Amino acid sequence: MWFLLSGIYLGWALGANDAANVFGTGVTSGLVSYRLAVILTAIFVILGAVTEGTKCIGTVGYFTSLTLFTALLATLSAAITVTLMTRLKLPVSTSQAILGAIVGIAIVGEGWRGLPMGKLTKVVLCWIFTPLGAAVISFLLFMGLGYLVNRIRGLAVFTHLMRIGILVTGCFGAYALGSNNVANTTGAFVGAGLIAPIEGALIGGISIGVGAITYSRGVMISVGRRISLLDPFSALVVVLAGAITVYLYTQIGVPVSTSQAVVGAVAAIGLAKGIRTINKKMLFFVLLGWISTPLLAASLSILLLLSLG
Amino acid sequence: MLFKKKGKVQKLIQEQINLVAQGLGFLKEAVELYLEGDKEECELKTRVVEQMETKADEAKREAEKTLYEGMYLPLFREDFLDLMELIDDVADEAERIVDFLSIENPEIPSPWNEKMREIVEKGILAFNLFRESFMLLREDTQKAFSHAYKVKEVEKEVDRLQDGLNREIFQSNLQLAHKIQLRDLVIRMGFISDLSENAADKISMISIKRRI
Repeated sequence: MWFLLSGIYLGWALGANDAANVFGTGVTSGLVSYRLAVILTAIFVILGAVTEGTKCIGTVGYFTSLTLFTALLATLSAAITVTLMTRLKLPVSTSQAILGAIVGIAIVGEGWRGLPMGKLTKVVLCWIFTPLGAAVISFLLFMGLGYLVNRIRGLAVFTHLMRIGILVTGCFGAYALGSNNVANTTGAFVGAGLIAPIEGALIGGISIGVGAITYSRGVMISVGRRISLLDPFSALVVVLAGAITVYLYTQIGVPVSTSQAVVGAVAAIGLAKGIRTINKKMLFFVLLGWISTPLLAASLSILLLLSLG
Repeated sequence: MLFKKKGKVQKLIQEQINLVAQGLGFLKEAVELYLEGDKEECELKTRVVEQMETKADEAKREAEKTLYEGMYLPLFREDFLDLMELIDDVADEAERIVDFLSIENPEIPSPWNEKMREIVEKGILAFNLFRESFMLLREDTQKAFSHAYKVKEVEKEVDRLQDGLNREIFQSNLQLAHKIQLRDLVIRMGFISDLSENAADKISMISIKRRI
């Protein structure tokens, strides 16, 4: 069972990094205490993982045939990639890291021609459409909810609504995160037959929750401050649009990046308000993350498999 | 718990405003007594104005403390802190006017009494309009915005009154030092409406920020 440690580590890193996307705004603005935010994140991540996490676990676990050893190498490669890129302060997606690593394993095992091109195309298209989809959802939410919220005249009601909204969207965001990203942590081991899907969902969910509780403060504050530059309604729309996007991808069984969904949602707010919310540097970093994360993870898994296998 | 704290901030700001409004009421009485020549009673009212300023200051400090604990949307937090400072400025100015009368004891020729009264009354009217706009903010930000605009109109009237009175002062045969002293008093009295306008501008700003 110690094989699972690499998956647990990946889940911990994921929780530490991505809790910021759901409660960053609430915490930095002081509306939600850090303690409450991480406890809610942990609860809803586990709930999302256990309830719907198996939908994406299938995609990661059965992308290619995995043995216990290759599952370990894939998860380890993804974990190293995530750690390395976080150290280099580069944007990183665990979904892209684990799938990149699994593709690397598949290339070594079955060659280029053996790659499941249908599944791969679906996944890559989903990655491209994550920020785009989030942008569309964010734009529609901003216009639709904005119309309704503008009808609320009182500052007191507006403030209550925003506060409740931040709590509810944060919980939904955590649920979506758990349901979608839990596959990245233990999916490969489910594919290798070490554990059952529901066990994978539970172990992965708990490890993400522990990551959020123990190590998310720093990222939460930096991401939260960036999103908090938006007005509270826009920040709420960003979190909600990101959560809806990620949740929709859970339904089609593809793990995607919550951070990239947030970037798309923020860009759409800029478009709706006629202001620039995303600069070229940020876009460049997203593109860099898209390309470098799966490439690095794939290269690592190939390297590890060839040298150890 | 969260909602209770936010309600507490609003209550404390409202309390600060009410105390300043009460202080302005006593300022009006003090000026009236001074103009009637009852300087002893005016001194007593001066002390009351000072006490009201201290109480308003305490309410402000309490509200600031609660606000710093982070129970407000960050978008409005700074505005509310600024607003409390602006309300405090009005209370300070009321205190300065009664102190001016108490320390400098200026001789005010009776033909100007009515205009002095009017400037003080209009200043208080400006503050009361601001107070109403603050109360509207909770229920309807658009109404608060329109109401805050009324303060501007009153402030313009006060400006006109001030200019007219100062012109009369400087056209009179009084000593230059006396003219300057009276001008200073008139300007001080006019500050009440100026500062109320600043506070009302903050209400307008909060209302605009609330729009999506």
